[in-house]
This record gives sequence, structure tokens and C-alpha cells, in this order.
Amino acid sequence: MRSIRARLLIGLLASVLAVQIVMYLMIYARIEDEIDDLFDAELERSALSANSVPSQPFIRTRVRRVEDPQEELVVSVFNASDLVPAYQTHPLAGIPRSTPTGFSKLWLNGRAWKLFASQVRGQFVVAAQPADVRNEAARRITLRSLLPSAGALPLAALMIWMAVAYGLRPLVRITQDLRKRSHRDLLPLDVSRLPPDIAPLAEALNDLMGRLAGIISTQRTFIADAAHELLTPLTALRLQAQMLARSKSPSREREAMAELQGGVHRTLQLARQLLTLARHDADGELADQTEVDLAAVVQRVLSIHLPLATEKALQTEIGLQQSAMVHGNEEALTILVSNLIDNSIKYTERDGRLLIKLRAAPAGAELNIEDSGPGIPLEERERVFDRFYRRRETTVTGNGLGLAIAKEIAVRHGASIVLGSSEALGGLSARVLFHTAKAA
Amino acid sequence: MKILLVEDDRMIGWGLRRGLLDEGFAVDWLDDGDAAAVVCSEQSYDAAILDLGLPNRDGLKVLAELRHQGNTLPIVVLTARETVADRIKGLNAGADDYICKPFDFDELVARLRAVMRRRAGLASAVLEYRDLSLNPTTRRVAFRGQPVGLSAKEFSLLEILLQRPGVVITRNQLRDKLYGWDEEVGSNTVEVFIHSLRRKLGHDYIENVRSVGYRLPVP
Repeated sequence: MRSIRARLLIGLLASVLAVQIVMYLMIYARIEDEIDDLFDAELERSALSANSVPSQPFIRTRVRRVEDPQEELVVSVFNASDLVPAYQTHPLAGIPRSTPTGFSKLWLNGRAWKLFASQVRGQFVVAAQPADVRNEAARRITLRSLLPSAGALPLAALMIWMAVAYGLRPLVRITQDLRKRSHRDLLPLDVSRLPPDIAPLAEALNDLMGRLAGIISTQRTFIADAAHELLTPLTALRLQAQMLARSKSPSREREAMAELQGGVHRTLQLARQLLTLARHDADGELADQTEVDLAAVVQRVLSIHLPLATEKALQTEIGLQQSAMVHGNEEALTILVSNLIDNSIKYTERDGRLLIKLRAAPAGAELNIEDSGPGIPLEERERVFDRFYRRRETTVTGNGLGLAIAKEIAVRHGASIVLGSSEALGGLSARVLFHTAKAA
Repeated sequence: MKILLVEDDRMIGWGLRRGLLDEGFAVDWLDDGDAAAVVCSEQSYDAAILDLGLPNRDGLKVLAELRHQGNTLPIVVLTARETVADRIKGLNAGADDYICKPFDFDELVARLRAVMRRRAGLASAVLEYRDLSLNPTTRRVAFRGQPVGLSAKEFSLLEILLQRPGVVITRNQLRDKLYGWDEEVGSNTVEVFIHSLRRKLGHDYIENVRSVGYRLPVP
């Protein structure tokens, strides 16, 4: 793209030039009229002056010099009714006898001529002059009068250049300000010092930088948290590996190996959840959106998780609507449902109860997961959605990411998760409300 | 030597307990802060390993409380909080040493031994008494320059006695220091180990203080 400076310079210079051309044309038209009158008068005078020498051959000295290439004023004098001139100032003139009296125009020898003919004391005198001489003169005079202003053109260009530079100074200042900054410095630009033309640009920039700073700070916290959270499983891994290395008997070795495998499994689980979180970050784009049948998703998740519930002898009651369509990403929704059901199974004691209900609501769908587990006290029901937040009392192995992931996925689908206490079962109730119309 | 281990992570707890047992320590393992505060004031440990991120009560609070009660137990703090400010806070709260996750187990044991040594007022890692020298790190005992083969419990018993020559230590104290909660202890176990130690080192090394306990006689 062409620079603003070049655009302005070209535009302004073109305007100046256009004005000059219009002026030239106007002046030229005016001068042409004047010149015409002037030359006509001269033509007439030349013809009439021939009568001061009656019946005499035309005296050269009485008229202007014919050799003057600029003028080429030719006079022919015819006697009585002769067709051939008795005298002419130029041998090649060939001005016809039939020229009408007064001013006339004639095409002669490939040139346009202006003529003036008159009876002067028995003689017929014609004065003729090429028409282009007049145009030439008009042009010359016009140019001569415009030349000084044309000479001012470079000056105009220089001044335009300086004016443009002056006008662009606030932009240059912003550029320098931004260029000097480190990548960490996302403080807003000072809009009060900017002209109103570019203040909106700076404000938009400030807005963008503000959002960017927010995202960067969130990301930084997340990375710090993630690194911190990785320390625990890694510490366990290191210890387990050391214990395996020190094992002195095969049974000890087997035990240590089992522990190490458990540690690897846990570390992988955390890494996988961190990846999921990164992929389904609430700031990102929700990819591959389709119409998803939530009932099918819940069924699929149940088929994976029910064996775990059976293992803990949980009494599970399931009530699913035939289909409940929501708009969104199927994989993400599967993770959302899976995390909630997994939590309920994990935190409910043996022989407990589970209730999973899905129904199509007028605006979308409603998923209810209730259990007879310990529940979550009111004051912690918001905090449990924080990344890496783990409840103090918990004895279940986890990394505090499951609910955070569920929440981010819900937000991305315009859904809400509300935690409460289950009236039927006494434990936790998690209700997910999908509003199809609001899906992001 | 009996260690109180307070660590809420099951896997780290398992690894530490296993390693410490292998090193010849008796280990009591707790996984929450409230219990740690109670147990510390009731039982006699030689040292504690305290994780800071504990359920119910923060490790730092437990630490501060213990010191407030006048408990001088050597404590090595174990934590993932690794900034200098955190370390300073930990040490100021009364930690004897501070080790960050992920730590090396051998380093942890060395630090544990060092804090116990300092608390006992010993400069050298090697305990010496008359013709006897015991190295807790290498777990070797030399008697008149010759290595002596001792079982883990025999070694621990001798180590306890060697730390405070002349001081009488009761049978119950010895039993407590030799065994963790989950280890089966016979009623005359301590006597059995004393007997076999005397057999290996000679009878004049361990003095029986009638109906009280045992000590190394001060020359």
C-alpha cells in the first residue's frame, strides 16, 4: 500500500496542476479573443494602407516585411477585373480574386488563412495571414503569463511535503512510542495528547492491548500453576524410581514397579487434562460446531463410566430424553459430561446412589447429575471451578482440573453449570443448562 | 531413630516411608495437618518431615504452632513453594531445613540426619564411643577397628544409645523409636536386640539400669 505521505503529495500536486491547466485554458481563450481583434485590425490596416499609393505598384516598404516567418502577412493587389494580381508581396501567395469583401477565411496551400478584402480606388486589395500565427501568439502569451506560477510548482511540492510531515507527526510519535516498548509493556497510549482523527485508532489499539495483557496474564498464571502442579507427580515419580532402584528383593521390586506405574499414570492424566484445558480454553475458537445430540453423548460417557460405578456398587438411576439437540463441539461436550459424571462416581462412597437425568428444555437442554456423596459446602461452590483448586477434605486423587475444564467448555457453549445440594440423594447436584440460541 | 512423616500425597508418602524404612528409620506417616499437631505433642520423634500443602491445616501453621508450644523437634520442611521468600518464611516459622520438590531422596536423608545431628549437638556424622564407631550414613559399625555386622534394628538401637552416652533410655522409649505404628512389636523385642548387641560387642558396653532402661556407661 502507498504511504499516506505519497498519497497526499500526489493528490495535492495533481490538484495544483489541474487548477493550473484550467487557468491556462481560461486565459488562453481570453487572450485568443484579444489577439484575434488585434490581428484583424492589423489585417484591415494593411489592406487599406495599400490605397495610399494609387494605381502604383505596391510599395514594399508600406507593408510589414513578408520574410518575417511569424507574421507572413501577404497583400495582393488586383487591377480592375484582372484575375491575376497586379502585385503581391509574396510570390507563392496565390490569393484568389474571388475573395469576398470584408473578413473571410480560406483554406490555402494546406493552411488556414484569414483574409480581408476591400475595393480601394478601383483596385481590389486582399490582405491575408495564416490563422495559426494567431493561435501561436495566443499560446505564447498565455504560457509566458503562466510561467512564473509553473515555476512555483516545486515550491508548492516542498511546502506540501512539509505540511504532510507536520500533519503526520502524531502518528510518528505513536509509532516511536510503540517501537520503544518492550513486549511486556502493554500500558495504554495517552489518548489525550492525540488529535481527534487518530484518537479512535489509539483507543482501539489500547483496547486490543488491554485484552492482550489480560490474556497474557491469565496464560502466565496458568503456566506457573501448571508447572507447580506438575511438581507433585514428578516428585512422586522420582521417589518411586529411586525406590525401584533400591529394591533388594523381587517382591519389593514388584511393589515399587506398581507404584511407579501408578505415578506415570497420574502424571499422564495431568498432562492430558492440561492439554484439554489448553485446547478448550474459553478464549479460543470453538471448532467443528455441529448439532450434537446430548442424549447420545451422555449414553456414550455412561457406557465408559458405568463399570466404575458398578465396581463401587453404586445404585445408578438414569433418565434420558430420546434426544436433546444442542449446538456445539461434540468432543468438548463429551469431556464436559464425562468430567461431571466421573466426579460423582469418584466422590461417592461405596453403595451410594447416583442420579443422571437429561431432558430437553424449551431453550435447549438440561442435564442433572446428582449423587449421595459428601457434596460441596455453599462457600466453596464457586471456588471448585478454579483451576487446580482442590478441596481440603478430599482424599480422592485428582488434580483440580476436571471442573475447571467443564466450566470452560460450558461457557464456550453458552451453557451454565450450577452446583447445589441434591434434595433426593443428599450429596452434590450439578445442573448444566444449555441455551441453544446463545451458543457461541 | 523415629521419624514423623507428614505428607498428604499418597504416592510421595509411600515412597518416602519405604525409603526411610530402608534407611533404618522407624516411620509414622500422617496425611493431615490437624493430626500432625496433635501427634507431635504426644509422641517423641527424633525428627519430622513436614509437607507444607496439607489438607485441613497448612504445614506452616502446624510448624508455627509446634514451635509456639516449645516443641524443639528437628523438622525438615518439604514443599513445592520454591521462591526465596517462601524459604525464608518457612525457616522463620521454625523449620530446621527446607527442601523443594522434586527432591532427591538421598539428599533428603542427608539433610534429615544433619538436622538430627545438630540438635544432638554433634559435630561429626560418625558417632564414637570408646572402641566403637558408628556411621549413620554408611550404616557401618566398627569395633576395635573391625567391622561388625548388625541387623537394621540392632544398628538403630546402638545409634540411639550412642547419641547420648550416660543418659538412661527406657525400654518404652527405645521401642517407640524403633517401630512405627504399623509394625508388629513383641513385648520383649528390645531385650532381644540388647542381648544380641551385647553378644557382639561385649557385656560392658550396654549397662542395664534396673527397672528403668539402658545406657552406655560414662567412662
